[in-house]
Amino acid sequence: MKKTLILTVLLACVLPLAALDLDLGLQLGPRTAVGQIKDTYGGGLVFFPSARLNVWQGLGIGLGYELGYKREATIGLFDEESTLKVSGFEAFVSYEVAAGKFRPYARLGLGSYKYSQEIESQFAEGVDDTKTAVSLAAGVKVLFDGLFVSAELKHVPLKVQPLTEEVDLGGLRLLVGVGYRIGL
Amino acid sequence: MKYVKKSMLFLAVLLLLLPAGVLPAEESGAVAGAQPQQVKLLGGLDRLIEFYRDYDRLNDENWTKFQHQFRLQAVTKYVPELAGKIPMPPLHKPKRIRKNLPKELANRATFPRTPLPMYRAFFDPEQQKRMGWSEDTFECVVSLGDDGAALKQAGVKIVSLLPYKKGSMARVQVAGKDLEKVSQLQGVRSMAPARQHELDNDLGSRSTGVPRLRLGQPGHYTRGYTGNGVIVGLIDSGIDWTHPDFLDPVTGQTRIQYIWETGRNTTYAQTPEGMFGGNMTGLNYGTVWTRADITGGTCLQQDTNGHGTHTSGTAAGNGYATGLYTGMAPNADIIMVNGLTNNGILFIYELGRILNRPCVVNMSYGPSLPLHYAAYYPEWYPMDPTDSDGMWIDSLHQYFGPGNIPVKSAGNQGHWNTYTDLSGGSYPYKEGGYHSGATTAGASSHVLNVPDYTPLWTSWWGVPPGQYDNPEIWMGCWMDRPCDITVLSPEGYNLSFPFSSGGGGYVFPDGQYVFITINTTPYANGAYVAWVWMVPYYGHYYGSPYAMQPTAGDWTFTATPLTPGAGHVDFWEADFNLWYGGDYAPIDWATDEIYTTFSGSSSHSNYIVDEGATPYEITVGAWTTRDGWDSIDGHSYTWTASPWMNTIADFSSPGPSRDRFLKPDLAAPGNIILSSLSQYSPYASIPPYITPDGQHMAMSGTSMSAPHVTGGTALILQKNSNLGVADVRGRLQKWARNDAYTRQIGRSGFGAGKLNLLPLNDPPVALLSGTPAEIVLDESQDAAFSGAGSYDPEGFPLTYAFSLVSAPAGAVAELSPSGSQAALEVDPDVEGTYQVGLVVNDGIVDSAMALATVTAKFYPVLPATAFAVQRLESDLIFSKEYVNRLSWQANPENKVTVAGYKLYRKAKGADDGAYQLLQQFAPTVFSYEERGLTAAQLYTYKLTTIDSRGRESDPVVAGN
Repeated sequence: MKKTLILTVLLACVLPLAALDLDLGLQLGPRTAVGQIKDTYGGGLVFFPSARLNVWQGLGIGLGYELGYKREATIGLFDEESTLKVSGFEAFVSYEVAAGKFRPYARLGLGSYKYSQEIESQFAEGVDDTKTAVSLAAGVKVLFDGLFVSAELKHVPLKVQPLTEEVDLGGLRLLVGVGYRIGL
Repeated sequence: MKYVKKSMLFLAVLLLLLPAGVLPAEESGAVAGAQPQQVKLLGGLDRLIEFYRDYDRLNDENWTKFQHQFRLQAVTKYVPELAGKIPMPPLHKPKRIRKNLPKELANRATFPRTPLPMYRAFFDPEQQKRMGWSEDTFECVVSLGDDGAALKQAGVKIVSLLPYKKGSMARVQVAGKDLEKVSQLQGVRSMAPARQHELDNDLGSRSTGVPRLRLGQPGHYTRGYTGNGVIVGLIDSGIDWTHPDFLDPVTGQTRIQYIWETGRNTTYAQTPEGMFGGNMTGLNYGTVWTRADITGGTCLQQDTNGHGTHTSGTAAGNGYATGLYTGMAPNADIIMVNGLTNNGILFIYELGRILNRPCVVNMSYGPSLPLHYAAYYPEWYPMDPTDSDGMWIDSLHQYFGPGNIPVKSAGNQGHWNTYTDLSGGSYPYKEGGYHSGATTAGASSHVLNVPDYTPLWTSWWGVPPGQYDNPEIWMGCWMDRPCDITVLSPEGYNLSFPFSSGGGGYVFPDGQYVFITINTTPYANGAYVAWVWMVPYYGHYYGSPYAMQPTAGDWTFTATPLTPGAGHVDFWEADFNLWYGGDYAPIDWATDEIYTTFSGSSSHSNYIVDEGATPYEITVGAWTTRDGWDSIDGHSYTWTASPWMNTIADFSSPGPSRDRFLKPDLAAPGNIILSSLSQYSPYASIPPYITPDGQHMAMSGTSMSAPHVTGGTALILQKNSNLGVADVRGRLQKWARNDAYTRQIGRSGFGAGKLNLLPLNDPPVALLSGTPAEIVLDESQDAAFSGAGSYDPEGFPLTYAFSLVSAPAGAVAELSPSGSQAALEVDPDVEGTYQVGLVVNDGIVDSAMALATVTAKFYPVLPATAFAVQRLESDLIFSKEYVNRLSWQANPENKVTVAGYKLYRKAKGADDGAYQLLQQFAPTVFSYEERGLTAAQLYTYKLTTIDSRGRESDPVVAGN
């Protein structure tokens, strides 16, 4: 977390040195699940609003928040009702290649992911915890003057063990979105 | 007084008749010489024929002359030495005598005498008129050896003709002039006048247990023995058909089906002949009022006497008028014959046959002659099964079969005691008497004591004492075989009357005249009749030495049978106190014993007379159930006598029959009976007799006792309509109640005892069940018993009486009845068998006891079976939940009631002392899951079964 802050401060120092662009976008799309999560809860739809500042020659930094994954399912021997929620705050660094209107990019993020499982049973203990994980994404933007559309593939490897069992909460996200580039 | 008046008339006329009876047949011109050999004239037909012949030539003016002439003629014949020496006494001149009488005596209705009073007694013209017959028409009972062809051919009016004993029995109506001719027709075995009757009504009362045999409200009895479906017929003075006691409260219509008013001939209403035809073609007189006539209000019949309405109310009134005085058979249908004729039996039986209903006929009447007339006319009192009317009734039963029962009043000739009546007068009621007990096995003597007495009057009808105050002694005699008769006077004079002589007369030296007539022709039953007349001769014409009365002292009459054998000799005496002139002598009742009495088995009571003495009718005496009543005039009246309450009524004829059969058959309440009042009755204007409700009145007599039995018989026929006379009599006599009073007085007056109909009721049936059959002790101590299945054949409501019949030794148990149920709480500490009994009562009689048993026993609590623990794992993704699933089954061997289960738990491997109660379960729960366990939580479980008292069984164990 400290590293993120340091990097953010450095970028803020060099920003005035170059021409700055600010990309505001909103992406959404399905995400997959793996293992027991997939068997029990399955995938879901997530949203990813973000803000990216192009600080130098296609290199940019930004913040985003993934939300929207909330699944309900009956679990256990007694088919008890349960709800699984996953969301995460990310700070990322991305590099964008200028190729006309098309701007392929790659992004590396570091996020803090919050997950919880609620079970309607007096005999089962619920889960509510947070874990930090990196995320990797690659995609392309198509610019139309200030507007742009984007599509990306994102992967978050997230394995947790808040209780007795280790659970893989990771999965791929296929996101598409729109945004607006503001020249500063 | 009615009988006194008649006595006067009969005695006087008898004087006229005796010569005809005592003279040889060829001299008297009696019918005996003219009648065919095979014909037996019964019951005074011969006299009747003579009377009819003499009817026209006798009149009120010369009857006294006749009697003296006949007397003189007789004395001259049998005491020839006195012939010509006896001057004629001065003749009574009624008209002259009447001038000398006090005014109150001169106005007496019975003086001067009516010609031929005997004729009137046998055949009362007024009654003839009531019967719808002309005055010179006589009804006779004829026994025939064939089918009556000669009667039919001769045009004789046949009232009924029924087959009977290889011949037939007929009732015919014959004009007086044809009597002899009819008696000689081919096929006639015997012929006798049919009796006429008078109501057996003296005074008034009720009871028998019958109210307990029925359910409902007065006027509307819905269950039990009510006479439903049975016809109660009554031959009586009619019925007040407007009386509400004879209405059906449901339909509002009368319960009277028919009224045959024999004395009313109409052109617009039918006669019995019109209804029946066939054998009943002779019943072509009178008027039959139907139910429609009564309902429509066109019936003209009225009960102007009140007797018939009263007896009807007792037999079949339903109490609808005021809810009081319900009769014996309140739901029976009623048929009334207004007119005292036995043809009414035929009428009622025939209607019963047509309607296909059983019927019982009430005859509350007796012979028109007072009983002491048996001394004068013994041939009128055969009083055994050969009675002609009795045989005729038997023929009816042969024809109509069972289900037809005649009930007869025993008669009011009993003289049990002295009683007082409403007026406070005292009556030493001793009228006549008989001497019996002697048999014809050998000579039998009958000693008659004649008391001395002193007349009170000094002048009577202008005649000084000693001239006409001489009482006379009359005796009749029945002999079952021919006997010579000898008479021994108190002075020792002896006179013999050989049977073959037919009797004769003799004047003893003391002036006493004894006259005996022996009828040498046997009557139908083979018995012989004799008459004895003792009267002083007119010694006063020769001076005072001659006795003016039968010589005081013992007179011995000895009957010596010509051929000794079984049988009886009975002497009957008339009232000694009959004055020669025809009235009672005014004797001081208190100081003078004025009765002649037989010594030894002397009795001032009497046989049952009339056809009621036959086995073909049920004959009823009367006993006393009430000594007073409240009247509509606001007073309470009481009659007293000793003995009184619960004893035989003082008037009830005690019996037996002349041939020594038990009569009456039984006794029923007959003194001061309260029953329906006819609005047309003279009693309706005599408030003291009327009850406060204004609808009923008090009457007494065997007339009142007979309808109790009549109604009771209707109840018997309701239950079994196929019973004959002997069957019903057998039941009534078997059921009859006997107590200290019947035993004290003797069975002669009560017959078999007091009417008791309660045995008619079938006892209820108790049914009892107990649950459970086995009580498991420690679990429960209660058993339930139910008698709800019990029932009463008559449908009467039941009361239940439970009892603990037996219990295990030392046990303390409590039985708690409630209606038809009972709960038994047994001793919780004692095993054994309890026996509970149930007796139900239908209001009359207990049932047999029904028993039910339960057994109390201890049983242990057995543990559950198939106890097991299953370890389960529940995957919750982030964690795993472990579950111990426990299951068991109820033990089928358990006798106790399982109240639940207790589950204990300890950690696996821990000591048994570590078990802790985990859970308690209801008895219907057979599984349990312990959840939320971790993999490390392993346990061992122990399960016990508990019963209702908290006892725990041995444990069963299972675990991880």
